[in-house]
Amino acid sequence: MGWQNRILRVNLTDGSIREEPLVAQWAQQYLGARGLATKYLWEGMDPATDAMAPENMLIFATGPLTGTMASTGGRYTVVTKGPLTNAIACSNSGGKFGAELKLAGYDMLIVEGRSPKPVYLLIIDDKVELIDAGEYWGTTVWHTEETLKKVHKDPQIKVASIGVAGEQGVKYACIVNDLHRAAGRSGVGAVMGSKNLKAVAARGSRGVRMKDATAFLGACSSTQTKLAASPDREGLTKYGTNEMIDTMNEFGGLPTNNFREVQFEGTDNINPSAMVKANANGHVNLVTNKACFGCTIGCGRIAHIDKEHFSVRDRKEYWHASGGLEYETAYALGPVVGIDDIDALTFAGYMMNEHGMDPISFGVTLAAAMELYDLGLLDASKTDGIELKFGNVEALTIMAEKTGKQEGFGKELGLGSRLLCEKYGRPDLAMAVKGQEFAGYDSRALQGMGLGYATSNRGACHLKHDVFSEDMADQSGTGKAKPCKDSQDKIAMIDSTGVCLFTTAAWDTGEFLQLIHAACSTPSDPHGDWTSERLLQTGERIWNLERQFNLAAGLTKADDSLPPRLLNDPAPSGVAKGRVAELDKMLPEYYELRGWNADGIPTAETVSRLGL
Amino acid sequence: MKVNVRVASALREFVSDENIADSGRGELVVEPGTTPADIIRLMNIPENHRLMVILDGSMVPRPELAQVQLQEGQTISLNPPIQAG
Ligand code: SF4
Repeated sequence: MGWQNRILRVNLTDGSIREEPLVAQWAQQYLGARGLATKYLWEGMDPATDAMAPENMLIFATGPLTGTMASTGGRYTVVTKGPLTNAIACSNSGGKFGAELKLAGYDMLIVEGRSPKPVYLLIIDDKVELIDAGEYWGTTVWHTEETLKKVHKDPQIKVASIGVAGEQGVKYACIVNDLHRAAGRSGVGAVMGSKNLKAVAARGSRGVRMKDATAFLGACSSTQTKLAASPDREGLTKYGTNEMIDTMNEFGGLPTNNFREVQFEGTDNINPSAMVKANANGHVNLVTNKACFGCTIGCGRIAHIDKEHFSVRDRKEYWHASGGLEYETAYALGPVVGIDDIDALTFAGYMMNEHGMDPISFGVTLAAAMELYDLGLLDASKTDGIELKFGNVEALTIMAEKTGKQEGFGKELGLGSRLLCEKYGRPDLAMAVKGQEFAGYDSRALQGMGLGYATSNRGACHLKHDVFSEDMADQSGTGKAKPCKDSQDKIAMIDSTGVCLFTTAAWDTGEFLQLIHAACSTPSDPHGDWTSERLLQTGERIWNLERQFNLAAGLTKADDSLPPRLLNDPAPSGVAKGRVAELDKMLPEYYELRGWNADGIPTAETVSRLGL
Repeated sequence: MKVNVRVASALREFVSDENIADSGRGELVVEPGTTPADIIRLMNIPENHRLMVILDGSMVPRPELAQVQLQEGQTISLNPPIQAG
């Protein structure tokens, strides 16, 4: 219950399509989405496999709350081995695609092998087929999605697809669904491209059975009421996640010019106030907010670009409204490259969605290239004549498009910051962990965030732990290991339910328990009823299984680190002025709390306790 | 005495001073002994609203909002607290 108890396994090498029952025992241990897909990945492939090899598995997984009335219950997660990090990738997305896959009757879609030619997968309830995608290969996400809806004469089909970036192996290519929602991080779109899979189009008409429908409706109602009353939720609805840009700038944690600085003087031009203010032409950037399936928060932003802006003046195809600035997009296409032109940021954001790329990794890779340029290690002869200077607006818009289309210097930017900086002899300039670029929080100002970045199983990520209140209260590394570890476990559980992490604006473990208990508990479950302890231990089990995958893939303690700039160069301003990231203090304590040895390997006792 | 105030986008809806509501910046003339809590009131931000207050680059914990006394020329910055974005 909560689960559909069916998974779909598609082998692209031989074109076979199989339905199989969900392994109920695994669902009880790993819930769904992130956790359950990790278990299937662990059991189904050798972690040492090359991420771009046919043997890599690509899993689209829903959770027990996906497709239900639970607020934000539309999430799905893509789990695979990531080409950006060579570690486990788990990237979740909202929109409506995940709910549609679940309502078609599947908890999970497992894609294996490599098709001899480009194909897309059509799922309409029980009707599942692989269809030639030759005419879509080489086209954009937007074109593919729009055309598939027309071809199948159903505007309600939900599509998850890749652009040219995914087809051509950009290390941070993403899978975009519903035009501007994405499984964005770690290069899951490149894995899809390596399999010659252009798109998955899904349409479902089933429901999801609950263990106790009345109790579930009651839980949905009470949790939604709590969310509605939350001031943090209200902030997300009114201002979107970009409300953080003022906060992080004032705090001194807003990475600027490739983390050389931590405050940016141009935030007034790209913050939520700027998004609603008319410019000299009377143009207002923000059009409206937008919610994913079943979401009562609606943090998404829809924006449009001033038709007079140089990026679109002669390009009517970009005059429509589409995904607007969220905090991470604003940071990564703005301060970290020194740019505060709101239309240029919006245009670059369109490029990310249209061509299927992660804006965080793109922006931080461009920032690294700008620093290489500044140091004379790159020059205009290598960058298609473009001056890659911090603050050069055209460098942003042109390189966003070139990278999406894999033209000229865009090919090098598609490598990600780690490989790019290695190529030009300055690996220290890559602002990344395990090869994945940082989000918009500087770990000299937010020490717990730094520990979370360093230990995140998918490489630097701001969404896998929550030490924000501790980091705000105290700028040292003291006392950060425990909240970091505990929140990692809790979030691993939340990511496995099928609802959005932003519900934590109002919900804690108790709210998830109400929903999961009503949806999933079964009298025959040998584990007994769901409890808070069981939920949190499920999260801990998931975290440790991801760790085991990474260790088996060849990662070591050395990968739990931060770039030298954050460890050695003091924050130049802000509340943490003069501080460096105190990872050396936090990491040993963290390993001990996790029940790992000094090399970061789970002890036999930990493995046994978690039933791994 | 004069102090500078900076108000984040997400709090400007409360502010009645048009200039500060528009630009998020302003200079205020206040009495000696004015506290951050007084400035929050002056800005019409509801008591107990979620806030992160920074005074000249240092955090002011919530329990100290009514205790710290502002000095001539200081800059007080009012923001929503840090959360995942
Ligand atoms: S809170 Fe935002 S990201 Fe989460 S489900 Fe709602 S609209 Fe989507």
